[in-house]
Amino acid sequence: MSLSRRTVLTAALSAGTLLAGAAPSFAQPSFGPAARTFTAAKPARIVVLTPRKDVGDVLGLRDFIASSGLSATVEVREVPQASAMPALLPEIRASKPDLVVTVFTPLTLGAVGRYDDPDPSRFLTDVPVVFTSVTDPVASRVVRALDRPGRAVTGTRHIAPAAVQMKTMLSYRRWKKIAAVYNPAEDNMVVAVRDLKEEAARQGVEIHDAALPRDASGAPVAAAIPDLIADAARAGAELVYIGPDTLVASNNNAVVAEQALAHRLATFCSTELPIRRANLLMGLVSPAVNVGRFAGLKAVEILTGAKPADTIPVETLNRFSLLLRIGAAKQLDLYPPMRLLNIAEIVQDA
Amino acid sequence: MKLSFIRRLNWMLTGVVSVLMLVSLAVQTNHVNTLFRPLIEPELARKAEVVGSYVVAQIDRAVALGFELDKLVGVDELLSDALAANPDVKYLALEIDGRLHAFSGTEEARAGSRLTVADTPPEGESPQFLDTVLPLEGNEAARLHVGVDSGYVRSAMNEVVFDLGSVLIVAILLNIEILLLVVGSSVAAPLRRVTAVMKQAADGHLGVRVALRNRDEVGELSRAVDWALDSVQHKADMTASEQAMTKIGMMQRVVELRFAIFVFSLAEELTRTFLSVYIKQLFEPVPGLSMEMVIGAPIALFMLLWAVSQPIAGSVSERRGRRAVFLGGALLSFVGLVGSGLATDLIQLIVARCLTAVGYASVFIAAQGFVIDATDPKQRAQAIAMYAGGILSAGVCGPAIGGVIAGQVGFRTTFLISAGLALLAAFMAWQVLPRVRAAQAKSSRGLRLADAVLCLRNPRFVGLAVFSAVPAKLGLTALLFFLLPLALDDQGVSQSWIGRVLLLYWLLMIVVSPMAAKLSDRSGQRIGFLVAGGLVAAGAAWVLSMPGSLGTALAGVALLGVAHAMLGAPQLAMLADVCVKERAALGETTVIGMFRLIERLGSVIAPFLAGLFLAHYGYAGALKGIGAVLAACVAVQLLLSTLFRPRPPAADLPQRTPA
Repeated sequence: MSLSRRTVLTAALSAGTLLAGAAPSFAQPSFGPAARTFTAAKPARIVVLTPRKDVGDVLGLRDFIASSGLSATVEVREVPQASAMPALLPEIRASKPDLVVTVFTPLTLGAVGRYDDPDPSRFLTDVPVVFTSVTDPVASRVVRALDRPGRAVTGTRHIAPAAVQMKTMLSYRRWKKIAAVYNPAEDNMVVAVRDLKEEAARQGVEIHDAALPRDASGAPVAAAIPDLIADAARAGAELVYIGPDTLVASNNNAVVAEQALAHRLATFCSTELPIRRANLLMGLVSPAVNVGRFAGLKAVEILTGAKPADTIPVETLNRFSLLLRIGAAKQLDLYPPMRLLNIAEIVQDA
Repeated sequence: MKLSFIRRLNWMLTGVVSVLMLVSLAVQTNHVNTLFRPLIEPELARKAEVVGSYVVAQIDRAVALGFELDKLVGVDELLSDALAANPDVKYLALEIDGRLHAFSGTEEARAGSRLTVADTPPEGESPQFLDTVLPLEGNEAARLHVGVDSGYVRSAMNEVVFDLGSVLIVAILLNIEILLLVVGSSVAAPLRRVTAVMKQAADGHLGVRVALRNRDEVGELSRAVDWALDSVQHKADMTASEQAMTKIGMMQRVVELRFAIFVFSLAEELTRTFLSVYIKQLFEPVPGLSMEMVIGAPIALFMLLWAVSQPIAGSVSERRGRRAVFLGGALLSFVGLVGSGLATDLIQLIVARCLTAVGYASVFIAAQGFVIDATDPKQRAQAIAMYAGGILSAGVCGPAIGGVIAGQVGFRTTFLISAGLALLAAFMAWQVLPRVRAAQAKSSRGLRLADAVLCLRNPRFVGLAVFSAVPAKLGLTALLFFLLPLALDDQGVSQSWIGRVLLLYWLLMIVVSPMAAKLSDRSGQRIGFLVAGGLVAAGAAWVLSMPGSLGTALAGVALLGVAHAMLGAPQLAMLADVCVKERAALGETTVIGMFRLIERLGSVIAPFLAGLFLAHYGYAGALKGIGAVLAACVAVQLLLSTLFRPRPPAADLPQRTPA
């Protein structure tokens, strides 16, 4: 009997359903007869739109394209706010890239809009788009269906299904009340919290809804996070859940970690970067580099003409890593169960 | 045919072998402590250490990560995971400062938060567990205890004893089979031939010769006799009939055929312990039918096809020759058994079983026909008894061996081994059975519907066939072939043990049948025997339904064996009594054939009935239900035989078939 440490959580925690999906292959795509040929003299031009240049998705994407043998230039544009997108799009459209890659839900929606949007002219329509780390592209209306996007927009997801996340949280302790701290202005978070509540109801767990309040102009107020966590602690929550949330998880993870520790609350995060950066307790994640590599595969498939972009399905990697931060566990005096410890990747304090 | 020579030899050899095996068993069991413990205990301790160090490594890693040992969470689960993966280990315990911190395993090993295994056992008792202690890093006071059952050695030894016991029984029977083959065909039968030749010569028929080609003492004797006859042949009477001699040569073949039939029956009996379990594994839902009914279907169809094809194969073998039908049947069974082993769904299995059934029916009827052809009426009963003895021996050996084989290599491979045996039997028959058709004096007529009507008009025949013979077959198939293997497998009883349980039935049949036959003949209380046997069979079903798995199963199967042993001879004797008229009209063979055919219907309905009961009432209920049916049949039979009292006894025992 051997248990590797950083392992496939699906094997340990979830039912076989996740494994049933086809495992994505990173093999070299075959160059079909319809392949457009890009040469060193005339390489494919890929434009990447990302909130930050150093996210794992971008590294994985670059890495895959470099090793794929495809002649391509990858141009990374940092777009910190999705609101900056409309101003940027005309310029991108004019530069006639061969493919655009978007990172995370807000920038993706900003670039391609909803599939049922009445006014397509505001978005990129004449260039194939591959997105990466979009939580729920159907609920966010990026694509009509996962297996057939219906337009030249496809990509990868990075979040474990709500049932698997819940099972992971509950296998640490049998929590009774979980506080979800999230930005209600982000569509994907509304969907993620709704899914979490449904699963929680099935498991007999209560979800304390800690949505960020909005200011007079309707913008979410990140400064309210300490109060929200204090309220959650008072309401009897034992764990703070943060999802694939740009405002809360990406930009304010340190605040969440610090406040949760102060109130002796455990923390769970469904994306990789926050738990690697901040003092959060645990996370169930698809390593962003792998998600980016998977997006790279889809980009290469489109550029070589191996498959038409609108027939390439949107997929999730079906393996997740459990990350545990030992320092947080000790500070909280919440030791992980031995079974979890055996399969987790340990994150040490810097 | 007297077997005095063989019998003496058999008792001697069997006696010697048994005594040797029993002595060695006694020695081994008495020296478990000195012989086996020193060999097995270090192995057990090593295993405990491997399991323990795997757990220790995980705990050490947690400690290395900076967690405090006594605050670790979920160590119990960790221990029970390791325990579940290693069934030999009886407990795992994490002890800190003499107190149990985490524990998983049998409660006998602890008292509250203290491990009791470290205590010295009471005077004269050996400790119940073998305790292995492993230290943990970073905490002097912490240890991991791994416990292995010290009774493991004794229980392993017991298994060996039981296995040897089964082997002993199987060995004795195999011994008889081989002796019959070797001595019968190379000593007893040739000697008998020499005797016959000498008698003919004494009558003045000097043209007869022994003409044996054996290259042994018997062969030399025969050649000496032939020379002697040659030298006096100038006075020869050349009209000596060689016709009479062929039958003597045939007797030798009957002996050899018995071995072929033994091997062939073994092919079927090997799969006995697990057939119903195997069917259950291949089960797929059929709309409108319960699972129990569906898994009964292959067995029922098998029995039905067997019953139906036996008379057909019988008449074919009369026209085409016994050899062709035997070989064809054996090859069909071979294909069927291979198919059963390879079947991936229930339909394939049913088809394969049907082929096998037709094959079995052909082989047995052809062999029986050959025995009848090859023997004089005088010797016939003995020859058939001898041939049937081969089938009985296989009944004992098959489940015992089959259970062990199935436990080792799995169900499918066992089927393939069975197929190999069927092929082997075909090869033996190919050598033994004469190529030419035996001269056919008369062609016995096949069974006709009119015959059945004639027989079934006789209420006493109905009482005997439908309410005594049918329930006997029903009980055998439903209890022994269908319900019991399923129930025992369900309770986690090993295939070896199921084999031993089934063996008991045949063993009692072999031992009790002759005694019961003698007693019933002497007392003349045939109906009494049938009623008693029927009631004992019903009681057996009731005993089988009681909780307590192995013990009650053994008792119930033993009772069933006794019951059926009580029924066999009285049934046939009764048949002669109640069917005087029918025998006169149809001939004895036809009446017996009819009786056997009706009897087999019991095997056909058994799986359906058992399946129906099983679906509604569970195992215990189904066993009780079969018992109730058996008891009801006894009542009806008693009623019929009292209502239709026997007429004044027939003056004479039956004339043979009127021409």
